[in-house]
Amino acid sequence: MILARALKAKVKNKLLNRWALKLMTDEALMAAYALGNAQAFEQLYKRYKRGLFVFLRRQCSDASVCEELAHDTWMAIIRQSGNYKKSAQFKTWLFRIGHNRLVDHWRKYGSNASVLFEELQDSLSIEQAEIDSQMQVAEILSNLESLSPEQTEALLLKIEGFSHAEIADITNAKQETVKSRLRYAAKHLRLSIEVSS
Amino acid sequence: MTETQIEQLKKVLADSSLPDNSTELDDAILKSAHQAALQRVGSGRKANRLLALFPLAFLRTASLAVVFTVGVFLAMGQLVSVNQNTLELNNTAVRNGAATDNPSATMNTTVSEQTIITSSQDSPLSTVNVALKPMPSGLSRDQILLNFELNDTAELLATLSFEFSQSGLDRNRAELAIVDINSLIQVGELDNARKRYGEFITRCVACGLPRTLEDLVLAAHNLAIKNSNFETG
Repeated sequence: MILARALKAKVKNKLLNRWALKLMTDEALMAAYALGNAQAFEQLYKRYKRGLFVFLRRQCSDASVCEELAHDTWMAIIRQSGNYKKSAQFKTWLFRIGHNRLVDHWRKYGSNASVLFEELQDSLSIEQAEIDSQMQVAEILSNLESLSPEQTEALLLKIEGFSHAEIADITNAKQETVKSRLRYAAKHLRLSIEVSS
Repeated sequence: MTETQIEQLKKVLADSSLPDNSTELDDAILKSAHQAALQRVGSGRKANRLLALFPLAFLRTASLAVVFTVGVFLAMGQLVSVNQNTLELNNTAVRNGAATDNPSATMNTTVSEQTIITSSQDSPLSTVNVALKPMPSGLSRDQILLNFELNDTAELLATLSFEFSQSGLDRNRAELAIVDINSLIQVGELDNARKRYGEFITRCVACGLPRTLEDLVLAAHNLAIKNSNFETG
């Protein structure tokens, strides 16, 4: 009887803990992990593993290299968790580390952002019949291959939901530079729209 | 780039069939994260243990304080005994004339007696290290400076020349300092003369100069008398 009650309490605590972790902000989770709570890290990993991986994958052609970059990024997070300051947004910090790893990779082996466009084309060819606007976007994007890796990255981060200031922080560039990169991408987009129409 | 364009791109990319990373990568990262968390908890416990001992840390400070205090007392005791063993100021002559109100007159009558006593001790000037106390005879520090002048600068410097060369102190600066001191004594600015001497000895710690100006004055005076005795045979 006592055992059953203890077990019930344990399960209840575990469930509560899981719910609490789900409700916690990224920064609070990171602080909890810095104190030794491994479950907090699991929660963070669950939240961002796909986002980071896709961000990297869209900018490097080799899947195994991309996994390596993701691994390095998360390991850096684990190592530096003790130095993490609550004032910095976790997501920005994560993507900044990812960006740095990516830039190191580009410096060594050169950049290859065509994955993004191939992916978009594939994705749109499947759903072409469904939405016309998507097709339009696909056409536009197929012309975006001429964009530099930095412009593509700015575009991807914008799509990921980051503000100009955050993109500037992640890519270690000035806000004006980020804006001009996005403006350049938009110009291409407009030209493509005009051509397609 | 307009918000609509961004939204369109977002929608397209959200529908993307791009595969996730491998489960091996997940396992590797989560395993490392768990290990790091365990280490952190372990080090936290160790830190807590150290923190628990922190209130006892004063013991170390207290013991250090005791050791230092005892050390300082011992060193002071040693210094006093050394000072007693080194050249002692012989005030017999001064004591003899202490009853008179005019010390200069007294000194004139007792120079020979003082000479005999001090020359018998035969201490080099560099070892003169007496902390001058008020004279028992009543002769004050000021009176010493006024009665015994540092008149023979060249001779004094000749005695100290070895130490100067060892310490690398500029001889001209030393000469200048002694001339300054002399002139300050002559115009009655005794405190300034002492100050000037204090500055001078700090620049030549290795010279082994007497601690106070009064010691130097007396030693120089004794040296002068000793030399004159030697010359006259």
